[in-house]
Amino acid sequence: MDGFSGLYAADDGHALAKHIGRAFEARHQPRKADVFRPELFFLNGTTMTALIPEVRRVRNYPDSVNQAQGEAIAEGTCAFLGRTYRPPGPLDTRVREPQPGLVTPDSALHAAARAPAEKPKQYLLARSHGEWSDDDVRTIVDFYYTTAGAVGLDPLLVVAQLVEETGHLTSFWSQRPRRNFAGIGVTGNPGEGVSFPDRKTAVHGHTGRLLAYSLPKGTGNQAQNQLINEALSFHSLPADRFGVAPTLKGLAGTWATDAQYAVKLAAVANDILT
Amino acid sequence: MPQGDRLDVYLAVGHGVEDNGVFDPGAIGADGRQEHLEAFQVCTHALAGMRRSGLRVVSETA
Repeated sequence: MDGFSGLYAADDGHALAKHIGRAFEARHQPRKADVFRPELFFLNGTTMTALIPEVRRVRNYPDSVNQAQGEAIAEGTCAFLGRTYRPPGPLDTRVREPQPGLVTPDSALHAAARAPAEKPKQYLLARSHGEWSDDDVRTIVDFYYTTAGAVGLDPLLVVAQLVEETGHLTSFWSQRPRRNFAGIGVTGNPGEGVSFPDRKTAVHGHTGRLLAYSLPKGTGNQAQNQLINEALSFHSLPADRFGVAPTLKGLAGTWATDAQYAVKLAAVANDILT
Repeated sequence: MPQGDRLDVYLAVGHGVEDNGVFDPGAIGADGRQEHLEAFQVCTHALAGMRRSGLRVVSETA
C-alpha cells in the first residue's frame, strides 16, 4: 500500500518522521512504518537533521493530494522545530489558483475551445511558417478547429502542440511532402518518421493520436473511435499510452520525454491567447 | 523564531538533473508518471507551507 514512510539514520530524523507522519494521518493520508537506513549518504553525510519522506510518487495524484502531502510535511517540520504551522487560508488559495482563462499543465484536453481560430492564425502568420503559404496556415488551423472540436478536444491545445513540435511549421518533418505536424514517429534517425498524403489527413493523424492519449481505451464514442483508428493506422500506439493524458501534464514523459513538455505546451497556448 | 540567518530547512526533491547533466526521472509508473516530477509538486506545496509559517527554507523547486 502507498503511504508516508520516513527513512532516517539518527534519532532526530526519526522524531521528524513521526511529526510528519502524524500530520499525514491527520489529513487521512496513508501512513507506513518508518525505516532505519543508516547506510544512505543523503542521511549520514550531514550534521543537519535529515529525513527522506518516502511516498510512492509514480501515480498521477490529483493536485489536492499533492497539496495535502506537501502541507503535512510543512506542518510536521514546524512541529519538530517547535514553530507554529500556519495552514493555507483563502488568500493563499486564491494566489495559488491559475489566472482565469490561462492554460496550465493541469488544463484538460477535453474542453471547449479556449480561443477562437483567429488567435492561432494570427500567431502563426506573425512568424515564419516554412514553405506553407498564409492561405495554407489558415486552412490548417481551420482543419484543426473542425477536427478537434468534433471530438471534444480543445483545438487551441492541439494547435499549441503543433507549434511546439514543428517550430511553428518550420521543421523539416512538417513540410511537404511529409506534412507531419506533431513529430509522429520521428526519432532523429534519417528518414525515420511518418508522412501524411495531405493536410487534412495530417491534422487527423495528429488530432486522433492526441485523442488516444486523452481517452482510456474503449471509452470513446463513434466519432472519437473513428478518428483514433484513422490516426493510429499511420503509426501504432503502445497500449500503455491510451488515456494517460486527460490533462496536458500527462503528455510529459509519454508523448515526449521532455519533463517540461506540458509546461512548454501551456506556455505556447498562453502566448497564442495573449 | 529564526535565529540570525540560520537556515531551518533544505528541501531536496530527489532525482532530477544530475551533476553530469543527465536527467534521472526516478521511478517511472506504468502510466508514464515520473517520480521526480511528482515529488517536485509535493515539495512545491511543502515549501509554500513552510514559508507561510515563517521557516527559512531553501528548496530545489524555487
